[in-house]
Amino acid sequence: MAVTRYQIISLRVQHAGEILKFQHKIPAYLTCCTGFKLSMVGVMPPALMNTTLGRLSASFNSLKEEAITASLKHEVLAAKDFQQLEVQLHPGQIVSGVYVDEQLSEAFKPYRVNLYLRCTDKEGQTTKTKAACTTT
Amino acid sequence: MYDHLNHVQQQFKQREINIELQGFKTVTTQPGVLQYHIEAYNEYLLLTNSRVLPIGTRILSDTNSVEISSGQRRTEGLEEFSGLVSIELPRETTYFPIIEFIQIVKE
Repeated sequence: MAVTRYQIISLRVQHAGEILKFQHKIPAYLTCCTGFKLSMVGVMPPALMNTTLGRLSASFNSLKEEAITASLKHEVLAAKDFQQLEVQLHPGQIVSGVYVDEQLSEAFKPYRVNLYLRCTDKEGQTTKTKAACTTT
Repeated sequence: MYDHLNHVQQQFKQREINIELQGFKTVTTQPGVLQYHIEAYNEYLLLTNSRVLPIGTRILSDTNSVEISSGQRRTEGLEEFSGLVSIELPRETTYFPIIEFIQIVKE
């Protein structure tokens, strides 16, 4: 039976316009990432409601696959579902990327950004060719 | 001695990216213009002269972003950009450098 594990990459943004780079090693037993979610942790001034806080890009398999480019928005209903991802993981490789804060300096308050990766140890539907990762 | 071109060849080989063309690209900055945009879709631009850029220069792209700090000016690492690349010089700068990249077009 396949197990699903969530990898959390947490970044602390401390000033407006900050650029944060990250590297994260996914455990070698996980073979496939099937989803991701980007969320803000912290309290934001109401003036920033519905504005873009920043954007994140990430690549998998030690820079071999550029798979995520996403904006982080401050919204009332922040409980978003995972966005679909189909990345076959090479064992023990690195996820790396960068988050860029895009706020105006006047209204800035420090906050945390969490990137959740939903990964599984189940192989993709491999018969003869590599196919998309599956979530079930 | 650290060799930029050798490093690029080795790293792209490790990443299993075949190189179709390796060249150079420069952006000449000038007084009165603080923002520059370059298109680097399906290719990579590797910054080679971060040491001469004014501190506070920001280079943002779809895949990577950097702000030049005093630490970055000392290192010899190559920052890599792809997609739409925006270069923002700091407002207070009085120095307008030529920004140099190694351009890699992939297969």
